[in-house]
Amino acid sequence: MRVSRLELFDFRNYETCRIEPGAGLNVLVGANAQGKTNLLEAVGVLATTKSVRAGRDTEMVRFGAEACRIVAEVVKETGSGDTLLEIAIGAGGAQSTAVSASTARVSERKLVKINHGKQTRIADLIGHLNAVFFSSLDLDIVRGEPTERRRFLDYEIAQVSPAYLLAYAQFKKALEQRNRLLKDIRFGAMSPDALDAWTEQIIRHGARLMERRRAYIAQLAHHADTVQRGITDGAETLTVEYCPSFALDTGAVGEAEIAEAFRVALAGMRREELARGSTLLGPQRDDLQFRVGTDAASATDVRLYGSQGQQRTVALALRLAERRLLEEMVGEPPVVLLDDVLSDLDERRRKEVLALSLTGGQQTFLTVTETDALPPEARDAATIWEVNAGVITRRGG
Amino acid sequence: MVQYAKPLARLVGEFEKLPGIGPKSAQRLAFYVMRLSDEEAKTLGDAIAEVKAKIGYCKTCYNFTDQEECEICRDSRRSDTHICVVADPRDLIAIEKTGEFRGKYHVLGGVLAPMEGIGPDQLKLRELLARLQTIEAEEIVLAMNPSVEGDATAMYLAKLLKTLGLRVTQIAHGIPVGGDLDYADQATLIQAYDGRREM
Repeated sequence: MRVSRLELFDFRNYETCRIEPGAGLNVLVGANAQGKTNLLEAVGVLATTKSVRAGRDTEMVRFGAEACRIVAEVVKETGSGDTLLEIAIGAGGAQSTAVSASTARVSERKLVKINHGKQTRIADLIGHLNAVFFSSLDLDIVRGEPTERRRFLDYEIAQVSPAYLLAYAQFKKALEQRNRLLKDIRFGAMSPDALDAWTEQIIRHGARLMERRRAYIAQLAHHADTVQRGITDGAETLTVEYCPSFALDTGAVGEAEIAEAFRVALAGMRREELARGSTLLGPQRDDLQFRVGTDAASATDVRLYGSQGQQRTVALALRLAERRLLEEMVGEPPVVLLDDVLSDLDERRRKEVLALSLTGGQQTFLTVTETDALPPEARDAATIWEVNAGVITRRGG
Repeated sequence: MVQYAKPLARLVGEFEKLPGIGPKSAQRLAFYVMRLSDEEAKTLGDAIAEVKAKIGYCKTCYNFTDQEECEICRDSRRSDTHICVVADPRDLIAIEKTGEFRGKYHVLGGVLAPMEGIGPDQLKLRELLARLQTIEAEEIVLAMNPSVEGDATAMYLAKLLKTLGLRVTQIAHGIPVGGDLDYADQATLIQAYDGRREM
């Protein structure tokens, strides 16, 4: 699949921008802070409805504007064929009262249109475009806090499963309500009568999240190990393991079984939760573990014991595995977004990544500060875009 | 900057407080009111004053009414033993329009939402339980919105009512009738799939 046309309106530092990317490698070249990453981010938003880096969606709206819009034409080999996708973020509508305008607050609303159809729910965007985002910040997935690893998972699973995205939104809401209730119970402001009803809500939506995460990780782990062996010439294996906040039997694979285990675990934690005024178990506390070694048995946690080089390799292996898995699930290669990754890699891994960009008939967007960093064969094959203060022009075009 | 005369600015300001009304619409409504005859303007003002003065809650079901007990509760042709529980008077009207339900209602006045400070005590729940003591209810139908809060409320009620030995049902959530599967949004389809039943 590929993006054949991309238009941005009031997105980050772009007032308006329209490009028709090449089918293969697209290189975005420019100094820092000119808008190279923003363009990659926009493609990522179309794939997942979420920004890979913004904490709040409204951060993507150009400063001073009320809303931003991303429009893209997607060409696909399989499934729905060509699609025109459109997402608007912050489209104020009825909420843009005089008050909010004067404080320059942008609404969090997201609107989606597909093929000029009527407005639809945000989850309907899922499945039309898939993308893998390689970033220099990927090291944080391996080395950072658990929240980085959950973000990695959510971002990936959401783009193949609208049910996951829906369960995620509902879980978040139910968790917020339950946490508030626990806090109020602790301070005697609310009776504990309704706690069970909220517990059931987080179990219902949480079990679905956990079941999808577990299934996804099982598939990803297989590819990640293959890739790791490839990059290290067979010297290292990689084990990716799902670490939920409560014990799951290896047999408990279905949503119903996970829900039951969750229910039992929460019941055992009830006193503690009431004392602390917060939900202590659930997918909001999930983690992943990456173990590297010469064989699976002797492998150790790379977050704690790995060298920085090993950690970088694992981060790269995860993204490459994700790309393979997406291709396997969707039936054609996803769009690959490479954000400033070459400078952090040694010669060997750089070759690995570039080889990926030039083969397989996939569309790639790569950001660099200098085209000199590219080998001649990549430079010749690429469509090169110069990015300068929110303006994109095609070199030689 | 030219500003409206004070009374007009005040009217625009009041309209802007209404749900779904932005500054532009508020201005349009205010100018419309300006053009009304004195009599028409008074009718509008009186209607607002009257609704506040005369409309209260039905003592039985907590629907809006201008009587002590609402028309539905007083209707002797309707079954007293089938009670449909809704969150809001608007939901009651929606179900009433179908003409299918021939029992009576109970309006909770909201749904459980700790973030907004709403727990069981803030809803007309005790009133429902007291009411159920006085009748031999055959079926309680729960008709809440398919949201996390609506679900939590339905679940809470179902558990409570079942311990009293009552038959509790919940309306189905899913694909609109006459709609194509093809056109249903994914969230609705997922919910409909979750609620599939044995044939």
